[in-house]
Amino acid sequence: MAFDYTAFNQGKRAAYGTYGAKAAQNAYAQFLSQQRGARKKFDLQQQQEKQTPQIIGSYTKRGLAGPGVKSGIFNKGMTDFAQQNLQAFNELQGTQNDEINQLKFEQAQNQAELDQQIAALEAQKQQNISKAAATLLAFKPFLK
Amino acid sequence: MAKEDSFGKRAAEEAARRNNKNKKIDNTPRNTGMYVGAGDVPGPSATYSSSEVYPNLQAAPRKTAQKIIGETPSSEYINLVSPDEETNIRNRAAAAAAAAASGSGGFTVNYGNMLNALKRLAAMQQNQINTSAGSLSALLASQSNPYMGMEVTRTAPDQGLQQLLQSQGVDTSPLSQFASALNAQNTGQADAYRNLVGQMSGMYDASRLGQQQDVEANRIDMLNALQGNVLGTGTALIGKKNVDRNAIVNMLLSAMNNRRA
Repeated sequence: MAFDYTAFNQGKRAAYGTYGAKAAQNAYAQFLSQQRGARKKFDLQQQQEKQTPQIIGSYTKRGLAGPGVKSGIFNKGMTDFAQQNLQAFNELQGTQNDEINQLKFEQAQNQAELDQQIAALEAQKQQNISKAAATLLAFKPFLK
Repeated sequence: MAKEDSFGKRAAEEAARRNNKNKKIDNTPRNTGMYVGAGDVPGPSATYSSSEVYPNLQAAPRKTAQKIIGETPSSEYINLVSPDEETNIRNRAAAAAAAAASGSGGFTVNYGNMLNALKRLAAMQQNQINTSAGSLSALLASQSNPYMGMEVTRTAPDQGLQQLLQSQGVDTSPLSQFASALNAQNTGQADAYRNLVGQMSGMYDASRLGQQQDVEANRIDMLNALQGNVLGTGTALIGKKNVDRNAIVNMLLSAMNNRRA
């Protein structure tokens, strides 16, 4: 009796189709995340560049900054400014990295799920073929 | 003393009434007693007169009846067994004669052919089992671990802010220490993510290894089952008497033709 592979091929095509849709969605999500992160990073840099001369100027007006001037208040103020910007930048980059890592992990899970589905279908097909080949029970109805 | 046959007398009268004068009356004495078979009549008391002879086969000896109806009396089993059984009887007789001549004894010609066909079919089935198991093992081996080589994105402290402080003559040590603290926090998050990926990767490899082992175990089981079924079927073919042999041969031929295609 000829073995019917139609069901297994249909299952494989369905698995590949589902994986392809998820992979495309994941790739687009990564692209959007990178684009969103790049925009926010640019905005933060722009804000930093605007604030830097304003802060330095405020200290200069008060005589706390300038050539030959050493002020602890100015040092503390600039250090705090730098730390705030560093922390903001770190949080922004960290959030984006977490999104990218999560999307990559989901993509790996999709790939693993696809591999598992394909392996299960192939194993079931192989088991059916082996059973049909190994079982000679077709002889038994003819034996009395 | 023989019993008077009133039925035969009436049959003779019927024949005479139909003016069947040209019909030849068989005056052969018949033995209507318990003895069946051709041969001499035991005695005058068991014979009938010519006027009592009737043209029918009732109680006639077998060979005589066959001669009358025109059948060859040499076949002992005509119309008594089915054509298949007649063939089997002839084959067994021929095989017995051949075995007696060669001194080997054993199977009939039909049994031998069926066993050879069974062996060929078993060889093809064994090849099919090995081929399917091999293809599945190759598929499992070709699947790469998706978690392998995943890189963790880490946040690097901004070097531009340190340069800004240096340009203003501000000590960068506090900022460096703060950056180191942030870097350590980011490293911890990256290590946690890396551990998660490693766990998933290990689970994937273990699952695939288990599947490969299952494939090999199933292949061995199927081969053992095939061997057992072949031996059992062969033994049954040898031992069984009432077997639809024609159906078995047709099934073997059909199976081999399908696999060749």
